[in-house]
Amino acid sequence: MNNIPSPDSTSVRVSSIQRFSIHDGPGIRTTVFLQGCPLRCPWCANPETQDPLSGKMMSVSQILSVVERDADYYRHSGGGVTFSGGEPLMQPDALEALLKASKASGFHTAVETSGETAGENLLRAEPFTDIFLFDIKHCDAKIFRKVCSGSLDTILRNLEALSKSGKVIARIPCIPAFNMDADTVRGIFALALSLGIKEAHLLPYHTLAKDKYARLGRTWGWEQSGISKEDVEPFACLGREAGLRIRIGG
Amino acid sequence: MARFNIETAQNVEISKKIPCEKSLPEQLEIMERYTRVHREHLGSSKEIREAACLEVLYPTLLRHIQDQDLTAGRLDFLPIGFGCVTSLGGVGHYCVFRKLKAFRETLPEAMRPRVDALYDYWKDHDLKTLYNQETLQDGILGMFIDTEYPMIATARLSGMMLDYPTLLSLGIGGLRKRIGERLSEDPENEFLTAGLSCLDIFVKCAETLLQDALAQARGASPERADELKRMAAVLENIKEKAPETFPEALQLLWLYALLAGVINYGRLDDFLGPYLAADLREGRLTEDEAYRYIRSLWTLIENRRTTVNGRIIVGGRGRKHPEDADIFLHLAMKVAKDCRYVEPQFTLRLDKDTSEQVWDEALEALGAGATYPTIYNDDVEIPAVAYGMRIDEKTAEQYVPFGCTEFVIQGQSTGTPNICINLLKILTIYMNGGIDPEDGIRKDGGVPIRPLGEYRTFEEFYDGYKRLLDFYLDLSAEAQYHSYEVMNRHVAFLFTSLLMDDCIARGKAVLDGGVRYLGGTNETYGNINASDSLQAIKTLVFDQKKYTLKQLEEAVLANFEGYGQVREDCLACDKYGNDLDTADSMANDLYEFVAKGVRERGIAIGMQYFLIVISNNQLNTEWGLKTAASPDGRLRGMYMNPANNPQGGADKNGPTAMLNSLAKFDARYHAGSVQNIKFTPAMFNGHRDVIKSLFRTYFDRGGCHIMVTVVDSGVLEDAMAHPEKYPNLIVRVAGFSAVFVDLSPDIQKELLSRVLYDEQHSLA
Ligand code: SF4
Repeated sequence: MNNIPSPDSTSVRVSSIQRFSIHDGPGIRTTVFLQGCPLRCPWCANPETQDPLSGKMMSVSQILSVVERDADYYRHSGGGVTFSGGEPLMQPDALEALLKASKASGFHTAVETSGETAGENLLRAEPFTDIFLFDIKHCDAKIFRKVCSGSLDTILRNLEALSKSGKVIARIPCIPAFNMDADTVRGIFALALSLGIKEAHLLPYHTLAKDKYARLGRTWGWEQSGISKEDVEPFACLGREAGLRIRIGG
Repeated sequence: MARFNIETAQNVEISKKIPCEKSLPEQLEIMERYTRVHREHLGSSKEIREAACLEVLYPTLLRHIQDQDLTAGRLDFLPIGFGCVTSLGGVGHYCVFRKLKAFRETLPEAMRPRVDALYDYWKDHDLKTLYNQETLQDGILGMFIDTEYPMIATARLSGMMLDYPTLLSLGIGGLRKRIGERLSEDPENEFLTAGLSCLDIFVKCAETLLQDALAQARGASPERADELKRMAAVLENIKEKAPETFPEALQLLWLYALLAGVINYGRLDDFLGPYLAADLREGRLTEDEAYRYIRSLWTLIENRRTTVNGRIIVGGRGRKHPEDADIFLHLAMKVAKDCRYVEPQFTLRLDKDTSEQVWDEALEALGAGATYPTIYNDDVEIPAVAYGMRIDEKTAEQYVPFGCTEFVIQGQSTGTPNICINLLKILTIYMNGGIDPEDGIRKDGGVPIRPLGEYRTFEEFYDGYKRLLDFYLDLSAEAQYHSYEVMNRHVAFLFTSLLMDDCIARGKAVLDGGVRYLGGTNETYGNINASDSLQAIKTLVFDQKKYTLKQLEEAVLANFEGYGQVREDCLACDKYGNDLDTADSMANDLYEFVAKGVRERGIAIGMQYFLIVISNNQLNTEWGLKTAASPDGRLRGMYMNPANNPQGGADKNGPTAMLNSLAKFDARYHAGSVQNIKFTPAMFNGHRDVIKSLFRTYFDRGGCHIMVTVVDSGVLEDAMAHPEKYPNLIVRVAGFSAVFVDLSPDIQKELLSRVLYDEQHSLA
């Protein structure tokens, strides 16, 4: 009819789609893992998502047709769809199209992001996103750059711009020998509070992804043993004292 | 006549039976007396013969009241006797030859010829043997449980749920009066006369137990003596009068069920609730005492050890006393959670209006690892039962599941599953030109089967399979119906008949035209393996043209040895249980073909209903052992899929996808289909709200049933290696629960193969 690209013509590089996700936002959700990540966290549980050129190509409507299958479960549980990665904002056009289509179907939407992206990308996604699960992995730019190869300045600038929306939940991976000391954790909480964030999720470090590295011919880059929910409880207390709503796990 | 071994095990027996209280010579004498009375009455009517034989058994076979019993009545079973079902004693006038032989071995040499004489007599009179002789067909139709056959048949009257409300409201005296009135109109009616003898037997049994209670009270602690004296008073009261209290109602119901040989108890909350509520209200019982009575009932049922029965149903629509019933329901939930027995099979019916409290209690018990309650969705089942059984919805509200899931209408219908059919085995026979690859025996029943090379389309191929299925479905309806004819020729099932509509009114025994709805069920196995195989054939042979049918068959016949790539391709085809339209539609198509086919044949032969059940005990594993490799990628001898769940491990898209697949079957065409799901405690107990909305959504989408095992990952594996550490680990096998370490390794492996849903861990 005309040349305006329909959402269908947007192709998306997808790593995988996981139904019945319960740790990526409220309720029962479907999480769409988009391919590609600019960071290289050595404990990354989804290393297969990092390479921006692999994954499989899917159209927006193909993805939505999977997401729609659990619509009834979302309705009953207050769930919805989460776009994660990798870093979903590495495919800003695709993400925007996916969010729009999800909203058009009436789904609650969440975007899980490391924040390492051009600021405008996040602002484009914002109107169609109900919550952002925004990683704050550290409060020290140098350490962050050294370990994860990212720019904390960029991330914080983005976080600041986005937090005005009131849709941001901080996600803090609790990584031994990286950020699990009281000062760092306090620093992260202070950052979050200074931006008006009210809720933080603490994710205990685990080593369940080790096998994936072996399968990818890579080596696991963080030689620490996994920790339990109990291990992060003291940090949760710190967060609560500081005035945040804290959840352990997603 | 088909060849068969009369000593074959007749049913699944996982729970170990409690040994008989009587000495060996006493046991032998009872069996001899029974046999003599049977012989002397060969010329009498079946009703008079049965009553005379029952008099030999009762009260003789009553066991002593045990210390923990608050309600009296336990029974022993001998290798010769009378019963309804294979799991307690046997069917009709029965001899369980295998057990009789084992009994013989325990006797001194001199007494053994006496057993031999019994063996010889019963070879010609054991009801099931008579049925087998008339019905079985070599290669085609075997006896229970001979897994070399594609279809097996038996005679039994499983799953009777009696009209207990009538028993409770009339009492024995009232029932006697009702029979008497009918008898005065029809004085020659031997069914009614024999029925009166049964009530005399009941009274004698109550008296025997009463004396036992009083005798035991004399040597007991003051507290126990008190309990026993109360029990004696209860027994005295129920000999004639209608019960007035909860203990009396419970006692009457229990003793009657025992003598009737029925092993499912129905909607206890609704019939016992009013008695319980009144006792609590009027201070005759404390809540704690009520709990103890119910707990004692649980123990009595557990001790009967029927493995797959012992149904108690609570909740649901159509209860006459919902408020009182809920009092029983809440206490029973607590008992189920605390006991964690494999029986009773505690069953919860619910619908959209079920309260949060009931949901929470149910999830609490399941989360504690009780495997109970098993949950049925009335919103789906009631209209489905109404259609399937051709009755109105009001009547359908009284549906009750028995055994592994088969439905009957309480007090009004029979529903015994006397046929089991292995759809996958039939497919392997079809693909191999009519010959079972397992044993090289022709099992096509003369149905013409074309060479594989001749099929040009998938539809042609599928159609040929359907023609072979038609042959078996015809036979299934005939064999089921014939089981009723044979049973009716020999027995009246008197105790059962007296409490089934409309036996007294018509003056006829249950299978003699007495029962209001003569129904039956047919257990199907290998459903999903068969449909996944069809899906693989469609994909690889007809859509992708990657292999010819012959090549695929070659690989299957070789058990995929040397055909690794073919097997990988087969396994990679879409599988049921992943919410994929392809594989799920195939499963549904096969389901509807078989289910409607069975239903239509049942109606045509004159039954009210004959419906498939996708119930599954452990036969999916045992039959799998004798079923050739299949195009779904399943290897020879491997277990088949349980009930209508996917083959273990084939569902990879998580619980919502699996439940979506399960909900696709239209419940109108079956009389019960069970769905297993397995969670870790972290998932099930740590995310209760998610679980609740998961189940509710599934029910909303048309899911009819769910049963849940909550077990930690690694535990089942560890229990296989170190059974001694897990004496109390209960799992849901399919339509029944079992102590995991009592199961055979093959069945344990099948359970392990099922997907265990755990929390995921994100850290991206
Ligand atoms: S940001 Fe997330 S996806 Fe990217 S490397 Fe780090 S953990 Fe992995």
